[in-house]
Amino acid sequence: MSLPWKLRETFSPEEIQFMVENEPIKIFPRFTTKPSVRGAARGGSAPSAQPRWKLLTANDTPLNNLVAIQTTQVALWIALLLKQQGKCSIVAPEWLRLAQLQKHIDYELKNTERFSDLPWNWLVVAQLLFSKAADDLHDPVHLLRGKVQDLREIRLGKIGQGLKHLNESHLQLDNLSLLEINELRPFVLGVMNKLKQVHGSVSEDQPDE
Amino acid sequence: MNIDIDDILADLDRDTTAVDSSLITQGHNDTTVLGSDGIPLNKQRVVPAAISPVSDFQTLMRFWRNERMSPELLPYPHLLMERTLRRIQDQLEHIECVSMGYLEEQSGSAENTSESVGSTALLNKLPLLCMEADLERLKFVVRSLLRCRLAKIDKYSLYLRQFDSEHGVVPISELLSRQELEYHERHSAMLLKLLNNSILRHMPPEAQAVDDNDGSVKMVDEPEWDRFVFVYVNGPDTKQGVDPRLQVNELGQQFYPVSIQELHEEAELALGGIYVMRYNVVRELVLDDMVQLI
Repeated sequence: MSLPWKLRETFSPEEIQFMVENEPIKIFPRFTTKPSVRGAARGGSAPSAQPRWKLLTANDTPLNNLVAIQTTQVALWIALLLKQQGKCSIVAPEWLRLAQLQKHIDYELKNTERFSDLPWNWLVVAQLLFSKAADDLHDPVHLLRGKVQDLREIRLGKIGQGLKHLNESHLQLDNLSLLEINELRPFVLGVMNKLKQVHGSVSEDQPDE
Repeated sequence: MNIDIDDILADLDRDTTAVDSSLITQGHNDTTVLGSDGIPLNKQRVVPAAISPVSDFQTLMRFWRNERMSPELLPYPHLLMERTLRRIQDQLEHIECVSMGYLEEQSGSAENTSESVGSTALLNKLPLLCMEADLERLKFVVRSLLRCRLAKIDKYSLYLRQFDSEHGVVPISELLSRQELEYHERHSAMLLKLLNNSILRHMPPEAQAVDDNDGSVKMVDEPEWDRFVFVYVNGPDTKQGVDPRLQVNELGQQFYPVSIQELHEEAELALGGIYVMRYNVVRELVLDDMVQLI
């Protein structure tokens, strides 16, 4: 059919990354695009000849007003593209610090029943920044990697625990990130759909069950 | 004595943002060389703030994700797609124009050798690079969305064929775009012809129908209405008091009460929560954009 079988029921990891790349992030640009008032007044034709940013999917006004070393917010995919060219450095989000991650780990260990409120894209953002912008992070990358891995494993353990509670009515999974949901999806939905069918056939036989 | 001035401050805030946004849109209009906003004027007047390329893209992303995860075929967003396709076309032309301009500029910049040519050339190319990447991203979403819809049309073609007559709720022209409608009709005609010629004509006449629902097994594939989906409850867009379905529980959380009919169960969908739910339970909320499939 027109959609590959693999993508029928779920998203591919690349598509998850695509969604995450549309989120805003802060950068330090290393060049200036803001048209100077002086230049515009002097030569009328110069600013109009200047190539301007005109985007469809992302807000383009900050890109037209970049000033070097002044933070701005742009979409993550633009930040990565600029970073690749060496035209900006990316400001790591608040939660991607050793202290913050440690807090999350402590919270996870203390509350065995729930997940800590990491942003919904934490795994993907961490992975992207580690691989593409490792030199912009405040703390050494290998330590951050370790913490992220710890968090990941703690949460995986909890998810494994939670799978005991699969049922035929519903499930609540607050603060689970999109990537974690996506890898769970085929299994959880498959099992719950089967349970629902079994339940349906049972209650048909004995209506007052 | 504490005087609560939050509402006064909010009023002031709103004022300044109104001025800002008008300035921004004005500036934006200056930069669009081809007049390529892609918005018919009358629509712009009706909803002045809501329609912009960025917000349209966000709506498109949401729709794409819903379509990918929902078991049924969602109604086609006619206006949104029209605007998006127009913008893609305009942006294509814009990029073409800009890249033509580069050729001239480079011959010009070779003369004034004051700056290092390499770095400025890269700086000049950056917007073009970004615009191309941006366009590719938008096109990817559109492509993926349409392919997903075509796959569903294939799957439910018999169901869609009986749609017009029995279920008068949504007319089929609302559900499908013009091209999808054509695809649906011609594809099912071809499939029918193949089946008829190869097998069905050798069958006894009472067994020749392809959409026989009275036999032991239903032949018309309906969407699996009670399939489980992951939902994120995002709530209404702006003011939360507006939605009458929203209620407050004992913890002070706002939630949507839903009932699962097969089990005679009530459940609460709290704002900001992630749930695994049956699709028919949350269908109304999905269509009203109160929850999102993830």
